[in-house]
Amino acid sequence: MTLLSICMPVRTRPDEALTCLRVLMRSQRQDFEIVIAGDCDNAAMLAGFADQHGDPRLRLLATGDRPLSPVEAANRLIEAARGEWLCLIGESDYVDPELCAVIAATIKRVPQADAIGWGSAGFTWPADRDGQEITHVPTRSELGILDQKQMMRRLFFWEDASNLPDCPFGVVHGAVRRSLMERIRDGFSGQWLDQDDLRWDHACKTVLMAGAMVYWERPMSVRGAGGDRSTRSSVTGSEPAADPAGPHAAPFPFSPGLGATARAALAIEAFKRRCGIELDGWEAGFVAACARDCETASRPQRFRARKEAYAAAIADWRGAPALAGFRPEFKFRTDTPRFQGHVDGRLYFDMDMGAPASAADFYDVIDAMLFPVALLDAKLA
Amino acid sequence: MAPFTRESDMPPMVSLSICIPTRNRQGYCIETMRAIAGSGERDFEVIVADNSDDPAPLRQAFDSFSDHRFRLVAPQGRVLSMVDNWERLIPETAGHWISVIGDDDYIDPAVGGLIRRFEGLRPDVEAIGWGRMNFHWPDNRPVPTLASVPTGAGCWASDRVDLQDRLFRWSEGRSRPSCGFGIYHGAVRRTLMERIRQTYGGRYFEHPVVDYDSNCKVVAEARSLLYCERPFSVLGECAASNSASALSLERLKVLVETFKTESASDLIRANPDFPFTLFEAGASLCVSIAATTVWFCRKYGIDLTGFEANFARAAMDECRYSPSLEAYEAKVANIRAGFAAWDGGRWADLFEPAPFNAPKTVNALSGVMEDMIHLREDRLRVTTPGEFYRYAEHAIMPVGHVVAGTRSFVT
Repeated sequence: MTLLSICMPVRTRPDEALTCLRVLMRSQRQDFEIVIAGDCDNAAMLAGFADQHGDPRLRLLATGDRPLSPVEAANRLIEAARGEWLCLIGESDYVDPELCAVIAATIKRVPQADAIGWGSAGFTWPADRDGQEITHVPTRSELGILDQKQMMRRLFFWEDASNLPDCPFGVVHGAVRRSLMERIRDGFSGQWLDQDDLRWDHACKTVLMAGAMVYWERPMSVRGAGGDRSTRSSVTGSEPAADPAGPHAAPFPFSPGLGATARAALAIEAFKRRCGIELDGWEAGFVAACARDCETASRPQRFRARKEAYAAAIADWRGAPALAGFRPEFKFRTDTPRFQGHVDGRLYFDMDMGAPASAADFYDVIDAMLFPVALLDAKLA
Repeated sequence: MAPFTRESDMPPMVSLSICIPTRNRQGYCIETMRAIAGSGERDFEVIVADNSDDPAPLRQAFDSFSDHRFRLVAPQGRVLSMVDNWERLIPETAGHWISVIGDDDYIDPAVGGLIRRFEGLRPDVEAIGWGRMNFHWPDNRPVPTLASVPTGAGCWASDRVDLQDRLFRWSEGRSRPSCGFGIYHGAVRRTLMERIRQTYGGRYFEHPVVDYDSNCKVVAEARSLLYCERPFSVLGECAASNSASALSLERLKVLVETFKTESASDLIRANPDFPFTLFEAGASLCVSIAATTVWFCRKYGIDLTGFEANFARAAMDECRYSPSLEAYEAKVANIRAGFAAWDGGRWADLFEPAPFNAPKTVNALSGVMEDMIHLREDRLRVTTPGEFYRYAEHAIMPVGHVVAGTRSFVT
């Protein structure tokens, strides 16, 4: 029985996908599979790669007769997956197949677990970096069950949010049990996923439907990012629109081009509307997250543009008084250096440590200095 | 690579002298020199004291390099003990500050910037300590190994009385007293080294356990001691290192025999003040260090009140972390025999080691614990301490911020 299906749609960056696949296939584990699908532009490259390796763990789906949207591509991969657990990553990302060991150790202690999340790690590909980039990873390694109500507050009320909700659950860079996937499909639209922003679409559903959500603080995957930490992959959020004031869904006047916070909020709000969920009291948390999204900009010009665009959207949405909670400050001043070292359970370090050329290389660097996955079972014993 | 020079080219006074005593580990020594030579710093010198049986490899290395910052002190007609090889280094130095590292270690000459900052803050500073990384050379990994990197960057003045309590009386009761000051992977002002020579028997170093000999004298004498958590050097452990014994009992036996042969000193053969054997099965660094500190305190009349009970705790701590039952039993037997012979067995009842508890893992637990990064070395692509230092620098405070005393950062 395949324990884990790692699903990866391949769209515009097949070279990056191949770097990930090469590392995945070096794993000696036999209890996982990789399900990939390309489009017309890269089908031949992927087919050549699959033929060359001849590894039954790698399954390449046939190219469709038309280009698929992100959600269509993801649904097709999930439909084809055979694993007991599923994880969806983007072509610029990486996930460690040792996730199988984490799943096994988890269900030994929490048999009812059906969603597993883990600490986040991000990597900006070298060509997209604008000088030195300091990143951080969580260094703790506790594993525990998270309370569903708490997760709902974090996701829908933006409690304890950074620029994004602090919710690590869902099939995108998370592991979800097949039974839960099916409950979600049957309980909502009959589709595995409904929105092109796959991450937040599925996070909403997982948080509402999961029987037991288990979180391990230690990162198990890497999200590949573009310049200024913008989302690079079609599975971790839709690409930003060229025009920050572009089309949006009234009465929520935030466009995807504003930033990651706006994109997450658009997906969450679309989900709420679809399900008829009406909540009060989440706006302040969201506005504060908008401010933090501005603060992720490392260039003053970009910071100012983002601040103005968010401010206009907030004022348009809730009126000028709502701006009282929107006070972003530019953090990356040239006279204030970035911190490197360990503080508050996070290691801050130069992303060029070990000169990683890919998300998989980067994972190799952090894997060497984080709690060993192989010891998780003994730690929990 | 710029060539190194020979002993005839004496440099003018420099800020820092880095001393590298070496014996029969020329390959490591040359790698260490290469790594240090890569520094863009100018205000330092490196003195290599070669005590090898064959002088040719290092002589040839210096012939093929020419870097005025490096000088070679050739072997004498006979093999010197380690302490004598260290002793002859100091008169060869021209630095205001002196530091000694092993031939398989690394030191960043940029530590000169830290020294200048500390001199500005405390003109009377005489000893400077810093954090140290640990790294096993690839040839010294018979079992899984971990490298370590301290991540802090704080600086402070250390309290000498507290240091003396830790080093002389072992007040912490841990298997090794935390000291952080001494000439080995630290910097000592030349004037303090001269005062040490005048005060302690007309020599810079006396005891065969030379690093702790220096620690004792520096902690006893220094007027002001400043410490920086940020690491500036790497303790390398190659297959021929003393510390390699921690990874292999076979290696321990070989090293003990070599040490006995090359350190022909009554100081370590028989010590009635501390009759613990250093050379039989169950020997440990804990006992070697204690033998050195006790020797120093007895010889120079330093109060040892409380040491006996503290050392018993330290010895139990040493046994607690034995990697195997065999190593545990050997250590316990060795230490128990020492306690039985010490002061007529007066302290023997204090040594009550906990039963052996097999560790879940040995050298496999990577991660960040107490602000120290532990890295699984089989996953690293760097092969020397110098390369490791440059790798690990990505995760610690840059030298420039430490030297500038920067306090505000963005996370």
